Amino acid sequence: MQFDGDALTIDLNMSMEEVREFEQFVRPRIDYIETIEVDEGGILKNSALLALLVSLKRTRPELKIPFLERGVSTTGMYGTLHWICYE
Amino acid sequence: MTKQEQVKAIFIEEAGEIIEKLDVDILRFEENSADFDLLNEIFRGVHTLKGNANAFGFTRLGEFVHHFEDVLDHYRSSKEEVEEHHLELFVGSVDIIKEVMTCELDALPDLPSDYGECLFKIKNLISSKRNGGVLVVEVQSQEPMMIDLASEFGLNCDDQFESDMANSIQIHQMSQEEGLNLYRIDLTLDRDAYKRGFDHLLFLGLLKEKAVSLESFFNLENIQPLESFNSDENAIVHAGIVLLTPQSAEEVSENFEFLFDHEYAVKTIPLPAAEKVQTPLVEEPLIEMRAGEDRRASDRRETGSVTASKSTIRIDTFKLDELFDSVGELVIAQNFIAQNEKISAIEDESISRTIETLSKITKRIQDRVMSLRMVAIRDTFDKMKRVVRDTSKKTGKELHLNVQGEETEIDKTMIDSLSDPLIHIIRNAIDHGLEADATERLAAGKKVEGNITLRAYHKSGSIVISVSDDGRGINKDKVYRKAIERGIISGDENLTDSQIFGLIMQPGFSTADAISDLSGRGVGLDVVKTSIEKLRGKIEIESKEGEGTTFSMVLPLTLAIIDGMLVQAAGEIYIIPTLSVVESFRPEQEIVHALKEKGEFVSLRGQHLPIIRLSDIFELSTQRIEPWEGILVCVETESGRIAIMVDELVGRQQVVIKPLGKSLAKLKEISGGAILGSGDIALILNVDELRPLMEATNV
Repeated sequence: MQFDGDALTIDLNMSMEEVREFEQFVRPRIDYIETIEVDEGGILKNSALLALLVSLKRTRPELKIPFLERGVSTTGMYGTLHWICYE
Repeated sequence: MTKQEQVKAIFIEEAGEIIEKLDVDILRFEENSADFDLLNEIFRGVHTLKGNANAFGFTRLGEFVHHFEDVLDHYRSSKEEVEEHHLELFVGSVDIIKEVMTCELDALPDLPSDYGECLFKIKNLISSKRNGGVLVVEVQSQEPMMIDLASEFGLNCDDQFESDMANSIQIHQMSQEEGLNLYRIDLTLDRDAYKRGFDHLLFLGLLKEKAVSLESFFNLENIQPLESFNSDENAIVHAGIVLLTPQSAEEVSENFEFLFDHEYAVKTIPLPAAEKVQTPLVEEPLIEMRAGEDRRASDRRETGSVTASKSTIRIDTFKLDELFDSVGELVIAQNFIAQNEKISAIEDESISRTIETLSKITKRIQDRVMSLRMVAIRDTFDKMKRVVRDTSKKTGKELHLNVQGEETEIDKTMIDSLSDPLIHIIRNAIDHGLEADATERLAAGKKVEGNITLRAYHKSGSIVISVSDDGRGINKDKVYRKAIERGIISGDENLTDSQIFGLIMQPGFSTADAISDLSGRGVGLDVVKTSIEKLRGKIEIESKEGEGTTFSMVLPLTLAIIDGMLVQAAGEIYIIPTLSVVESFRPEQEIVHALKEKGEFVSLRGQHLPIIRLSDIFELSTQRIEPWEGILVCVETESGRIAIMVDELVGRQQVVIKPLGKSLAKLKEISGGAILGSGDIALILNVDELRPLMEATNV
């Protein structure tokens, strides 16, 4: 996880424990974050991260999360995964 | 064609059907905007189209349809009656959908010119509805995608989920090969699933190990903002998985054995080999392995009713033609057996009975296969309603459309070629047939509202499709003068009314004083005539000045088979279409007359029928016999009755029409050929063309 100015870059392949830490980290800082980028190359390890990203977006709609807006991810591990999240 | 291309071709065909239906339904809805069942039907069509368009990457179509769907959804949910001025927008939207579809199919970079304006109106309409009727002019957003998503949020998230799942299932169904099974899996994990060590992705990973294809959809609609969120608890209430795998249902279910029963459902989707499901929501064929609570039961029931109403199988027309050809061969083989002298010579009752049974069964198969090609003309007529509406608006003429005989069935091959001629004739009837304005109609003692009647019916073994108007009728003198002016006729001819009316179908003929964008350019009716003639049909025009005009397209029942009377003349077998035959007889010598330069006639019940000798027509060398030594077959032609002289009557049978080669195709007196049971080839006579030739040979 890297915080550069108002842009936060995260890894997708967080364990459940890391997702919890990420949540704790971002909660008090959400108003200062403009963008959450995802490191290319990672693979989602759990659905909790996906849910957390959606929750962040719901909390602060102006927050930019390009990964979320993509709506789809294709990997050899899980096939094609779509998510439907309306703001 | 690859599997993917096949699937795409099916989508294109299906999308075309949906759009065609929309075109018709939207007009019906315009007539009765309180019909919410119809509005629901339109909504479902649009919804299916949206899902399919997006699945195949037709995003421009998908986006437009998505917003149109929103508008429809508002009205169907609120039961609010659609305002009259918005109905026009609905109709216009269907036009845009048609045009965008063309753009997508042809991969055109530019969208229709009205696209932006129409989309803008739709967005504003839905926006105003959401703001309690206050029109909110939409401002270009920095995040258009989010605006689009926002418009969808809360309205049809579940629908979207189901639609995406159904599309995926449909695509997988069509891509499935032997040995693979297709499953729909619904995961509805409890909030404590993570604490119990389960995660949706864990199951996806397990399934992927043996999967040929795996696609999943996470419905994240119910995820709450941070104040109510805890990443320790599962917030994803529903994830759907579409799995294509060689594994059995039991093997797939084993992956979930540690979950509670209510947390998952595995459903096997049986694969119809030839049948293609008509709507993407394919709930009915599912076989449920473990039933969980179905939160979308009502939605599924609604969709199910649509599926049930369309229990059809889509068959490639090429396959149908092949089947038809095979049946044709069967008929020939059966005729061969029935007519074979050696077989006939066997005096065995059981053989005779078997041959008779075979004959009956063959006839039945032939009739049934034949009926596969026949479709009701209703759809074509429905399309014409739109043409009438648009032409009425364009010309500013008030009119009423009467439709009769929509159930009349016609060969599918002909249906496809009928639309354009019919559109032209209808436009012509409204533009030129009806009086220019209300004043002219009132002055003629008619109601302001003009009448256009579209009718289909059977007549003497043919199908007639007519377009009538109650307008001013054709001015015969004007047509005659114009034809002389244009050099179409010299003026010396003694033409009947029918022949004069027929002049308006000549190339380059137009009596229109002003050229409109609808008709009157001097092209069109001749093209209509050519199109109908290609279908072995003809156009008849009846008109009474001041009362109206009727254009009748007379078409054969089918292009493939005729019931024929086999006759022999000069040693050759010919086939006369039975529907043209009135009677056959051997004449007494005293009723046969020969007139100099006019040929031979037979007097039949006060009517003088010209005698046609096939040996003369086809220049066959034969011993010339007198008419009373042969047999006369009286047939009905478009120019009246004639008597065809033959040596003997051979029999009557159904024959499959085979096209003739290029050299024989020029002979107007012959409409085709047929292979007889004996293996011989017989020519089918085009009786309408026999008289002119006879007259020509006697001049």
